[in-house]
Amino acid sequence: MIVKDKVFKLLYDVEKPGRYIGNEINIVKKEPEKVDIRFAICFPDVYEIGMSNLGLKILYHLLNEREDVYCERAFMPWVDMQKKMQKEGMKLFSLETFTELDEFDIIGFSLSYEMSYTNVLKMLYLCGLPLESKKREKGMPIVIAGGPCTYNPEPLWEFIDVFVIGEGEEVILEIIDLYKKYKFSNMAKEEFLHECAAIEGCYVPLLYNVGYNPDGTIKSITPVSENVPPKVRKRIVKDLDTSYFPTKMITPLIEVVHDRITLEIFRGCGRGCRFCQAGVIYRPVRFRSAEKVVQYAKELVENCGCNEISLVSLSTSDYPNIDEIAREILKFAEDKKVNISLPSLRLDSTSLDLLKEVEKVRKPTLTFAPEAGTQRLRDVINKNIKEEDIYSTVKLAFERGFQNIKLYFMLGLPLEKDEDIIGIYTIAKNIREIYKDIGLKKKVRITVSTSFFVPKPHTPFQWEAQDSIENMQRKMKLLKENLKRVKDVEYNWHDFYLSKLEAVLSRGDRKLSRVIKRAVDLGCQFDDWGEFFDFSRWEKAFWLENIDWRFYSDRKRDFDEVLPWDIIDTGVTKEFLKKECLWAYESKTTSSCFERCTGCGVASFRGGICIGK
Amino acid sequence: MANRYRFYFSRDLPAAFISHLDMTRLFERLFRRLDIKLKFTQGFNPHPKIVFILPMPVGLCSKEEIFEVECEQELSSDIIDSLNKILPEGLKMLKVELATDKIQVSDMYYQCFVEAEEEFCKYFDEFMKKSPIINKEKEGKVTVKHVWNFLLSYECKKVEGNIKISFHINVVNGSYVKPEDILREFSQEYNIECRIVRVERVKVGYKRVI
Repeated sequence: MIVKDKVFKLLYDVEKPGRYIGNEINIVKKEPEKVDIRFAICFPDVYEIGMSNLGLKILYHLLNEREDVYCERAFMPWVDMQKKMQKEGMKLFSLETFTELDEFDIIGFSLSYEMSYTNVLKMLYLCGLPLESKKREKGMPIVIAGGPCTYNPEPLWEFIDVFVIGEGEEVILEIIDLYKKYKFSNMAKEEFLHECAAIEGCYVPLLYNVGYNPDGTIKSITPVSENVPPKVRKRIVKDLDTSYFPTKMITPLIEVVHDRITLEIFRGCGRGCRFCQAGVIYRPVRFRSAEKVVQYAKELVENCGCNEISLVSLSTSDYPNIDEIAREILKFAEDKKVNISLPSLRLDSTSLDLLKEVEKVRKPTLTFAPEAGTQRLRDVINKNIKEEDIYSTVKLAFERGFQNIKLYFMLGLPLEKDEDIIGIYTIAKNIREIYKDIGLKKKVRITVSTSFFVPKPHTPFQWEAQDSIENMQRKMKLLKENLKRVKDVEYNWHDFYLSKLEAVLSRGDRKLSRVIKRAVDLGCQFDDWGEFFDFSRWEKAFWLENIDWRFYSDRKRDFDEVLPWDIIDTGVTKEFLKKECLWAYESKTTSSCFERCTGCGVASFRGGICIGK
Repeated sequence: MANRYRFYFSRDLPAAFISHLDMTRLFERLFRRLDIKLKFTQGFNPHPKIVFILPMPVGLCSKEEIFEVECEQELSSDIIDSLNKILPEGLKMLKVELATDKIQVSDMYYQCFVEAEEEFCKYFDEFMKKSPIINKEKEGKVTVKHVWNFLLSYECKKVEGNIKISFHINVVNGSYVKPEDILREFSQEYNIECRIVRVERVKVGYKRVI
């Protein structure tokens, strides 16, 4: 209890103290002395971001289902709190029992985005633990990590004992069973790591050697011994209906970023956009049955009391009969003043009607993500949105009283020409024209946002070069100048340097672990937060390690180069990615998984819509 | 049919660190979980009509606070028990009544516990004798409050290693001074570090109006 008292004393003087009190609705309370394993889920960002993450909540409740495990949570303290903790000599603590994290058996990081890598190291510092896996002895926590970023685990290889590749619902329990054996016997840490590597979906970086060519590219990645698998295959749950989903979900007391209930209606995406990593790593598409969705929705509303339920997936319109389900949920939600939100809905006349009906409470903003300004470039990226469809939907939307339209695009895509950038302007201009032609009196707001293309591992564009900073700047200016000529259009662009660093970290190799450590020592943290991100510090970190960051971001790779993430098997074959890349060069499109099997290779998992194909 | 109910509750740590807005949201959720239909405002962004008689600053504990809520239904007598079963630690419902009148706050008793140096009370008394002023800036607007226009009495003494300062504060036209602000002003002017360990509203006096 001493830690708890110490923490509370600090809270009179920090921003948003509600972040640090725990005590939420549906929090799990156990007696730590009565469990075998104490597990801390760490999210490398502030509470409000972490508590919006569905994966964290699923694993939290799943682990706590086990009587022999107590899973608690820890988030990255904001800088004011960090300073106070440091002054008092306090370590990072859990929110359930206010236990310092170095007392836990397992610390599990959730890696959602590369920009939080510095926060991972910072949190380890705050735990008072050695950063490097090698220096953490038996008796100190085992540090594991999961989440989408682990599909290229190499930049963090020195710091994490075990990476969990893919969906964690099953593999995490296997790791716990093994850990129990390790903890209550004289098994050495090395032995534990070896046995861990034998679990499918576990990547133990210490058990692999990486050799380099003189030009800095990778020569080979080889296991240190015969019983370590040469490739690590991702894990998936085959059937969402029988897999675990918590309906008595922990619900924050303070407002978080996505302050609502999230219910996952299906996993994966069958669309195959060529820049999209999620579309590859979450394959195959697996639907949750309508009965389960409706039942969970009911229970969640009853148990959490939130005023909004969000039916999430990567592409909501692909759920069969989404309208029927939404209407079914509306039957009880409306009465309880609960709003339904349907993110990632492809917009057309049917979905507009649905939106009108279910999102009664708030006036929604319509969001379109054409990603590219011309049909040619949209074919290159395999983004199946037709310009005419945008216009007809926008017209219907205006007529129904929607006033806010948001458009998302990417700049710097492979094969992009200036006319593609002008195409973005044309779309915005045409939308404004449509509004003018309808002759409404109310004001319209069209927001155009662009981000810069970041080539991601395991995608057909994984070999591509990213635009140089100079090119990014020129393209942004070109679009900005053009958009200035359209009334009621607001233009936002994403920070170039942030996209640059994201490209570097997401395709990085083992050499980057030293750079990240340098960056942390130079004061980098919360890189995803505009007010903290400082590329010059990163440049210094690269300079100190004698590494050119352009090698990772601005360089086009050959198809036969060994990639740092080749060790990870997503089920999607390299041949398929190569074919997709070549087709992109010819603007040839590929159909979605719902039309016919594209032969990506993930069918070998025998799950979801791939069964029977 | 709408009924206005008046709920009395207490707040202690850790719930004391929930902000005023979050308290409203929390009670909305609790009522929804109990399937109690509240009255909502009209318009694009409806919210339930939950009103706290005195907003509670973050960190404040209190023996008794009040919120009023309009319900679309009649509440049964076991509502207090039902709420207490699902309230987060620190919050406790005390009683409920049908609100037929209106109430206003007349005065408040506070207790502040601070960690500070030995001589704290001596300097604090000196500070209080000088009729201190609190300047508060909010969104560019500065409000000036003379502490003694709102303060009826205070007492500063040492209790079990901490300093305990009690205030009896008068509410004048719905306005008052916060003990935390007095303490901050003092600590700045005298350059004495005082670390608040606990702020508590011990008693609130109400006037009933028709």
